[in-house]
Amino acid sequence: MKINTFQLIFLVSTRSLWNHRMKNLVVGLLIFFGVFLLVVADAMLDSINRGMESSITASITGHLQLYDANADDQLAMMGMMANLLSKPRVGHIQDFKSLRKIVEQHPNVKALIPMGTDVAIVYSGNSIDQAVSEFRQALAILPPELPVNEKQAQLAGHIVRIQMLIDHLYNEFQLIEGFSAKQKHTRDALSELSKVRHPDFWQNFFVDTTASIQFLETRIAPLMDGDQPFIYMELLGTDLDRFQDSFSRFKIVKGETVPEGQRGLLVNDVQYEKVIKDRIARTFDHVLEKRIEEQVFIKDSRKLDDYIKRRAKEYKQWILSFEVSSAKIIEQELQVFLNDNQATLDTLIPKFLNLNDDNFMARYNFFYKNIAPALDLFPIHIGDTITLRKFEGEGESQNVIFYGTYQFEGVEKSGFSGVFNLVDITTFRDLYGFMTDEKQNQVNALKLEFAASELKRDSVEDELFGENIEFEELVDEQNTFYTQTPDISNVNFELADSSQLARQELEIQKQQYRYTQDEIDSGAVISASVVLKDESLLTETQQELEKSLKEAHLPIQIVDWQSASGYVGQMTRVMKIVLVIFMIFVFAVSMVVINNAMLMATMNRYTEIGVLRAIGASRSVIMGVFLNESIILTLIASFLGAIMGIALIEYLSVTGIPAPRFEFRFLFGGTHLYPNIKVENLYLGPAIILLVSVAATFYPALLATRISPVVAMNARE
Amino acid sequence: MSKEINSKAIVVLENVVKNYPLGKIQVEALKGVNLALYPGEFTAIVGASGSGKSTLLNMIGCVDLPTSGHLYIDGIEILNQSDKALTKLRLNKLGFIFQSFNLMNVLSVYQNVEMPLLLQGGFTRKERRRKVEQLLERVGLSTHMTHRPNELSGGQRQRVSIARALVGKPKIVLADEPTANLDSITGKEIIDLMYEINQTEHTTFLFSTHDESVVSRVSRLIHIKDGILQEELTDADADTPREKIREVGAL
Repeated sequence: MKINTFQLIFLVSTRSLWNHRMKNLVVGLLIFFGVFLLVVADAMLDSINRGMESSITASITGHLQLYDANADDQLAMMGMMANLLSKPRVGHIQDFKSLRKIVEQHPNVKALIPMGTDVAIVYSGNSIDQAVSEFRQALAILPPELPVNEKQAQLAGHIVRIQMLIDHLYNEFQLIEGFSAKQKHTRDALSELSKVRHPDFWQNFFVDTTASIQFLETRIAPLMDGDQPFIYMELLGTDLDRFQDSFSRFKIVKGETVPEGQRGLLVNDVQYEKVIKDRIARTFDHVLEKRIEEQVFIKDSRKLDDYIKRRAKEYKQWILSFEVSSAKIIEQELQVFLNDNQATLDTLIPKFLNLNDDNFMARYNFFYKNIAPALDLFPIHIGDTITLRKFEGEGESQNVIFYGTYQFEGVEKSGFSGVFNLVDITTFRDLYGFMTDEKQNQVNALKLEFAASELKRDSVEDELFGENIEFEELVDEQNTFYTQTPDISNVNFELADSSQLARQELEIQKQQYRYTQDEIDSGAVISASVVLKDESLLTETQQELEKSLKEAHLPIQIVDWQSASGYVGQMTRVMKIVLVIFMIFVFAVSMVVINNAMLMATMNRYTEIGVLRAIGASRSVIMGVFLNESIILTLIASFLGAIMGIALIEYLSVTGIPAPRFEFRFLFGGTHLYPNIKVENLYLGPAIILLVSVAATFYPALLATRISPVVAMNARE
Repeated sequence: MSKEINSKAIVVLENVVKNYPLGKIQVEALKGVNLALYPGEFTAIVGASGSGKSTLLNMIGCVDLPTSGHLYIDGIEILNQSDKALTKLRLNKLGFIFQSFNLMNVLSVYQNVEMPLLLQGGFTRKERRRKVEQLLERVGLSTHMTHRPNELSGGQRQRVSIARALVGKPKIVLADEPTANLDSITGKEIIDLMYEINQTEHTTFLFSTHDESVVSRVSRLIHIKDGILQEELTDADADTPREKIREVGAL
């Protein structure tokens, strides 16, 4: 077509646009909002992705995750608690040392951090366990030569508390007697409890103190349940020093970090405060947090109100956790505080826990000033030696010192990366029976030997270990990583001298032993995090590392943080898909509207088109006029929509969007999201809508080209 | 001999038949029409409505095709031409004046007249300006160039139409009832203007009308009735045309 033709098309189409400006305004507004929404949503999603990237890559996952190329399942570093029972099988990296050598050669790699994740439980004991253990501690500091009645007098408080707990338990069992599905269990429990309720038990307590305490611990304490005796911990075994140096959001909150090269546990501060802490204390914390950080008040939130009421119902258990002497003091103080001189704790506590917005702050302060000191708010304390047990299977445990709590700054309360408790990789390996190839060969050799001799399993176990080690699991080659295979050297040691003293000696040695970097590196890990210097080169670095690993014949696969973090990392991808679906819907509507508008335009301009055709305008000119109208309208509306989108994002980038809930901090990468708009956010919307409007115009335009010039001749005014 | 004569003709129709389907029956709008139009002629087709005069003009205007027969425009057989070729032919060789003016209301008077030049292409802005202004002056509308057609009277609009029809230098201007939407005085003025242009610039005109009063002006008068032509001699031009048409008719 000649240049003059374009001039004509442009002339006719712009004039027509203007002439039908009301109709075009409607179509234009539709396009305007479509582009505006798309630009804003796209920019927001990208910003959330960057926020999340910062949350994920600066805590735990790093930029890239390396794991076994032959793994059955995909690695999912986050959201593991959700699938405790179907833990992904991701294999393990046998030769971390060689891997490190290769990966850290890359100029863009800042650090390679070994990792392993699994679930452990800490047995913290129930109320009776705690009371008995406190009793035992109090007894230990008394001089052994003290007369029995003197001992009884000194320990009266502890004894009364244990008796109260026993009475409470007895009453509970009486209540369910006759209804319980486990009749025999109930009867047995009642008979055991009757023994310790009998005055003779306490009269003769100090005849054989050890036996008496053992009876309480082994026969009575297990009868009480539902009192959170277990703490579930998601463990992340790692090179603690390198972890702290590499992940910028890591920060110690309470206590101190694990000394370099030593065994130790760092509990996640959120878990410590929100899962491990005393339930009633947590209730006060939660209400305060809602009030201050989210401005949610009890009267406005049914959910919060229900939560308080539910917790208040647990008051009986709570009362039982008070020591007798402090219970008395608390009772007196509460009588004054609640202005009710006659009441006992049984009525005072429910009254005290009846919280509302007006009384909350006073009660919160009273709680922490008067009640909390009498309570053991945490079942585990910083400085304690904690026994970690494997979640799956029995028996395997490791003692480790609890040095302190930590958090990932900015995303501490998100709940996504907030669940891991850090433990040194050595303890982790011991606990979960990590084996290097060398150790694996030893086990395989043993297995072959026994298979050949066809000995009976029971006797093999006895012969080999002299104790009930689960051989079945030892030879289970299906899942060597998670087997219960004990560290053979350790077992031998324990068997050689199993006296209490020697055990303690071993523990102390174990805790004080300083591991060299070489020992940390020489061993298997589940996966390894790569922290990059320049994250914008992520894809390139990943490709280059993949190449180097292939050349070195290491069967390791590399995934980026988004895939490695599990469902969390996929969230923006999912949101993007939802956005695209939403947009397809919006565009489908636009298409119908534009199509209709253009069809109407064709009808209205029937004669006009006929005239154009009669005086010599070709079909392509007619098509050009229609398409041009559509394109001009789309471009103008898109441009304005994009400008509006930029303006909104720019405004939000200054003011920030506050995270409405803690979970959002993770997505926002902090307390506020400061969205940015990038050039690439501006392509998608206008490009799609241009395509849509051209497509929507095409058919009406095609119809228009079919209009015969005869209509011009026949036109009558 | 007839070939030689025909080669001078701008428009030649040979035994042109046009049938329209009307419901189940075929209506014969043109029943074997023979006609030749020569440069400089000022021809009127007169007939009642439904006589086939509009159909005849549609055929000559190449906006519709004959059912059978032959039609030559400037020596080109149009029966088997593509739409593209016909469009080009209309653009370069024909000028149209419509009964209801058919100006583009979205464009100004100037732009309406300029349009065929833009479609033809190859003219500079200056050349276009000169041509358009010259023509608008010729039709007496040089003061209305920036007006929109709907701001003008019927007569003025038809003058714009005339200018638009002429601007592309067509071989023949076709006007289908150019005065039907005008009062008799204005209608007469329009015919006068066309006649004047015909006389001074020798532009060939063919127009249809049912108004017998214009007959005195024309050089040729063709009656059409039931799709059959009947030609009368006019006082103004008495010699050659009649012979010619008879010869064509004899083919």
